[in-house]
Amino acid sequence: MSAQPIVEFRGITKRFGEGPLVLDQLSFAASPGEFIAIIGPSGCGKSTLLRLIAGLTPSTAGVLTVDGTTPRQAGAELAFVFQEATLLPWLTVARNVELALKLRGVAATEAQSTRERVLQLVRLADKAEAYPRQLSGGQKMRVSIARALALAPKILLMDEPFGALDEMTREHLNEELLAIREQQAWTAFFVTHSVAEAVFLSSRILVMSPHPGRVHTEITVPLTYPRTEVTRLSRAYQDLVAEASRILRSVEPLAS
Amino acid sequence: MARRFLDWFLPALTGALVLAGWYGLHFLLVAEMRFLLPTPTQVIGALHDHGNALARAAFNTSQGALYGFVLAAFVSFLLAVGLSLSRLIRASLYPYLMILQMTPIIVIAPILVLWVGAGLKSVTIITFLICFFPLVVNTTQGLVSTDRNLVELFAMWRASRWQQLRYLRIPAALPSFFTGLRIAATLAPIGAIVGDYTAGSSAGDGGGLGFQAIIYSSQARYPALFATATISCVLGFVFTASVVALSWLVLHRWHDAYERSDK
Amino acid sequence: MKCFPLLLTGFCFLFSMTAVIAADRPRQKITVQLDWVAEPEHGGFYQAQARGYFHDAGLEVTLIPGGPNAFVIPSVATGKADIGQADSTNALLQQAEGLPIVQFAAVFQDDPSGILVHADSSVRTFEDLQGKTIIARPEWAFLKFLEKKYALKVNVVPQNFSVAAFLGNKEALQQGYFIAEPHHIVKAGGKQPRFLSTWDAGFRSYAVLVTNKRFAREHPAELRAFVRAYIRGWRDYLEGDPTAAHAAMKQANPNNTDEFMTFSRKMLIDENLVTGRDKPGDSSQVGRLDPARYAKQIQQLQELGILKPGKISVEHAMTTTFLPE
Repeated sequence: MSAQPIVEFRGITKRFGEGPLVLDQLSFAASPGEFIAIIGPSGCGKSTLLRLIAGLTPSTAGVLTVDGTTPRQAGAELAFVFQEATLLPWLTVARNVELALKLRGVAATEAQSTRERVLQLVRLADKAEAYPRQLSGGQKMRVSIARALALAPKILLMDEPFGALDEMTREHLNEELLAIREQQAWTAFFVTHSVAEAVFLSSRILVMSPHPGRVHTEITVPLTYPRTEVTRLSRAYQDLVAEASRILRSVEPLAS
Repeated sequence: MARRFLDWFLPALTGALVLAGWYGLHFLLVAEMRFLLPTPTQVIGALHDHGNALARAAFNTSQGALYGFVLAAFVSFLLAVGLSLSRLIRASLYPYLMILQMTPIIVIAPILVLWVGAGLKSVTIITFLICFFPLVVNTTQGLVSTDRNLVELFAMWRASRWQQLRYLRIPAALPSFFTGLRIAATLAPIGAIVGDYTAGSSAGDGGGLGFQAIIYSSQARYPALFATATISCVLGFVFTASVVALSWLVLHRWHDAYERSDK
Repeated sequence: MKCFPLLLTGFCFLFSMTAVIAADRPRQKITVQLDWVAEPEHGGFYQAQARGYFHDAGLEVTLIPGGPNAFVIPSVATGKADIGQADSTNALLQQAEGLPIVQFAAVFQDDPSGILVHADSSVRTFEDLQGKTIIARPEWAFLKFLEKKYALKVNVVPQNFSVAAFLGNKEALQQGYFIAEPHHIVKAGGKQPRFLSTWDAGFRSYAVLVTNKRFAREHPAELRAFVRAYIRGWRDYLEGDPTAAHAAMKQANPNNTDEFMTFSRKMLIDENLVTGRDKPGDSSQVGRLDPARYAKQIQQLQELGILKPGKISVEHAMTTTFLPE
């Protein structure tokens, strides 16, 4: 780790109330610019991990540093893309994207130009005046991403954002996401159930084991960026997918 | 094509049958007893004869209904926002709201007349009381049950309580608010008429439809009474239709309930 | 006389047969709808019933007390009740609307409705009513009459039959029954109120008995018997001992106090409401209806514009056939 880590977990433990341990003594560090995928079976605390970084829930023990400070205080540097697009149905796409900026007190003209820029990035500039109910699932997710990017975050948190979409759309969106990443400089944490997606997108994969949640294995993904659909055909890619799948399977709890 | 035709033809046919049945019933009665069911012609005649009185009464009732309704809308909204802010506030106030709701208007009306005097003020208050409970309940429900994901989104943005209320909870609760409004719109004219019946006043030409109903029924002017009922019905319809139209205006662009297929 | 035992037996047989027949003949059932809760205004009925006068006349009478929502005339018109007590003006107006009833005997020669006025109120005469608000039944024809006669305009607030609103305001005006409300007001702590009565303004109504036309057609003899027993009941109530009637009224309406009933009865007697103010003390007037008064009332109502000409005539409104000669 040459640079100061942008996110650092030190012995993080998490339980909800009197419940069982969700995360146990978790430690790892992420450097700025990394794309970290997190995979693992149900109950391994992937989403909880993301929400800890986001400051949506506090840790029970341990130290979590985000951008040099606590998650709650680092709010301005974070953006979260949820599993569901969660667009405000009563606002147009444009207003949806601008909303967070408005809440931060950004001037209207600046908000507008930012909005136009990010909608261009996700290739939905022509839908600016549409309402969410007029969009397809994939389009809604792209707006959600645009909205996150409008905040110019240092850290982008994404919780299975493409999980509800079909395979083709998902692959396209993966490629779009990486294309956008070429033009921006965020660190990403990406939770997914798809091993292929994890390998395609990330520079490092964390495989977690459940009950309680721990980092079981870290897989480095040495594939060079930019990655395209061609990358999926490469030997290296396919080997990595096979390897990651094997590890994942080994971590699955025995079928009941 | 045939479908469009049926859409208007069937109701018209039913209407014609009902009218025929009505006339039939009237003439089935022994001549002495026909006063029990005036014919549609008699009712229309009464509408004409008492047109002025009924128009004035309808206007007065509309006034009471409208004032009570609008007052209820405002107060309920503010109250709902207050209730949505804390479970403790809800727990402490809800039982008393329920008690207020359960107390029959017929019992409250004479008390109001004692305190406030008969007339438009009492009628407005009675209409208000009838309308406000469904409004409060629906709106509070809407404010409290905002989509969890959206709430998390605002938490991500570290939005203040006030920002969350103004930009998230309130707009998200508008459909619920309008549902309450639609319910209240059906209740308001009834409330105003009942209020007028028990607490109306003829001062300054102020009597409403309820007041007229008392007079006509006591004088056994049954065609006029039926005419009053007809006008009341029309009033109720106009009121409700207006609120439905308002709902549409505010919500149709984005709410699922108004979805056609414009994907 | 050998046939004497036979004659005697025959006589006894006939006598007992008559008794049996008389006892077996079913009494005509009659339901009477009262216009209010049981009170001394219904003295004629309750005394006649308590004394058995109806029973003697071959009638089985059921008295149904009313209240604020007693719809006497529609009740009688639809046959739910055979006889009802109402005021003649209102009855006329409803008859004009086609209700099949007929007025056949008087209860009071003058209807004791009027306007209650506080002792200290600024209202002294009918003219003082200009612009005032009166708590009354909105359809009270007397108000229209006053407006026309004294060139006034008054406001009406619907009557809820409690004196609470009246007591709360020194300038309040309320429609009331002369023989009832004043007592309640004094009992509740107010001063003895003044009373602007209908007869003083020249608007004379009867309190009257009505029946539906079908009953009148089918049971004329019973109606005559009823009226005779009723008049007998009134005379006895006013001149004799009202204890039996008051006991019955109390049972029908437990809110009646002896004090109230004594007061009410006294007012009836003092104002000659049953016997008539025209010929005070002349008890032959009990129950009588005067067609000339009906003609006058119909004319008054037509002039007020609340009765369309040609809608009702004296002959169709009232009858004296069932009154004793």
